[in-house]
Amino acid sequence: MTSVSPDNHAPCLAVEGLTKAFRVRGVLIKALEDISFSLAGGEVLGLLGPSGCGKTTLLNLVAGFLSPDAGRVLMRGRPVERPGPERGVVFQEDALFPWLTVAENVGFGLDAGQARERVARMLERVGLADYGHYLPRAISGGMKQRVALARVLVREPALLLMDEPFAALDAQTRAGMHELLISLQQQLRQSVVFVTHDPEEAVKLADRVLVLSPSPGRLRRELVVDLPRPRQVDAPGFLHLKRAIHASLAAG
Amino acid sequence: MASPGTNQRDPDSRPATALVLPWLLPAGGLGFWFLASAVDLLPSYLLPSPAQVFHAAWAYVFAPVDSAPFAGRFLADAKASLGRVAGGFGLAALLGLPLGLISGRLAAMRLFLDTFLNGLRAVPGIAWLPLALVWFGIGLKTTVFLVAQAAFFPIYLGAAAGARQVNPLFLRAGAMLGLGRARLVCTVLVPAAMPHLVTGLRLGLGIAFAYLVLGELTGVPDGLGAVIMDARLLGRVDIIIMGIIIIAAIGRLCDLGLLWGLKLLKSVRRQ
Repeated sequence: MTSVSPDNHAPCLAVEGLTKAFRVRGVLIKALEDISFSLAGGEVLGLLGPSGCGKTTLLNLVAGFLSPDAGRVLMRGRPVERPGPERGVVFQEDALFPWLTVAENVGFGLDAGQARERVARMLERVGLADYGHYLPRAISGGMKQRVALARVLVREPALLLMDEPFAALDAQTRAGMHELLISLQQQLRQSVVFVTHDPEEAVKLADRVLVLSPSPGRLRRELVVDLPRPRQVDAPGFLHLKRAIHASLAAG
Repeated sequence: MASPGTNQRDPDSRPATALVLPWLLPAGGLGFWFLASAVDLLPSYLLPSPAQVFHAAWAYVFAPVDSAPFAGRFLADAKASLGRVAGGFGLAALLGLPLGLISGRLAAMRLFLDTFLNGLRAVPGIAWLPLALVWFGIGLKTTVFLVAQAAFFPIYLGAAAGARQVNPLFLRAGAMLGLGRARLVCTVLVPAAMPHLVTGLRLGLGIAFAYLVLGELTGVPDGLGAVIMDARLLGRVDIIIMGIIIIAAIGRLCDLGLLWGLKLLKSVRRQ
């Protein structure tokens, strides 16, 4: 499979000159214009911008759900053409299959032989060992997103794509999910692209933050988050970065 | 938040009301019928008493064959009718489910089929009868044809609606988890569309019984519809009413059987 070793610093993902437009009632709307960046193995990238700046479109292009009008997406040098399990996506909304139990959702599409054990181990890692036989409708929103995370991580993706996955959760649950995500990422060392509109969430999670400008989405600013983990949200360095992001969001 | 071991109660399975409510209307109808024949609301050659109909039904089901008109014919008639329904309904499902699923997902297929099929759908089933008689003659083939063409539309429309309304996020999630086209259809599209598929199949089975009787009114020697038609020629209103009640009962039992069979599927049970 596509597991990532901790010291692998080859560019995991390269995005080159990505441009995408949509036709809305006959009018061509540019969603993204000439976006380029790359991501090292094990790096966490925060993708930040106001709503309508094309963050989700960018993530959908990397995931392979959409194809670009110009530019390309490379995974370890290979062009992305369709969705695949080496690029796991955690969606903003609940995308668990309602007719499958928690364990069946996590093991969905895996070979039956080794699936049971891997699923059990992954459920344990996300703190849901006792909930395998539950249906999604019987568990809370935070638990659903933990299942969604487990369903992707059990496939050992090289890249984890997250589209505001915790936006619908209450503050306390969200903080717990942040901790879980950070600890899992430090154990498994996959690269992460995390879309958010919340500067604090971006600084808390990311090694690097890209700020996008709206309509059309362009790269406005890149900030390196050089803070030790676990990060204190009231540390001077943290507040300084947060202010810098707010400032670049407000500009223009 | 649910805790481990909590049972999910199905709201339909509350014991007392679930046992009583379904029988209130049938019992009320029967009561009214008793009352109406007790006070001679209608002459008995138009509306025979429940007792008369019960005796007719007893003979129809249990008496030795040929001991009286209609005696002992039930098993053979029911077998013939159920065979025709099964044939027609099976054919309708075999065509309607895949065509519906495809046209629900592919705009080109929908454009290709919709005008033609909706035109056909506007034709009342009885208008097919003369053509079916010319093509297939009297008997099994005509009835199966009528049942199949009638049951096709609800099954097709249910499948198309189900496929169209599948949350696109589920299909994206399936593709992202590494599934190819064919497995995506079987493991995501069909289970996600299942509530609509079930509705279409149940409506289709209901209509199958309606067209069964139409197909059997045309001079076939056996079947529940044939019994009703023969009884009209002999002026046996008791047998006609018995036939209607038997068709209602068998129709309901088949619906329950279909539902029970479908509930073997997880995607039906859990949604």
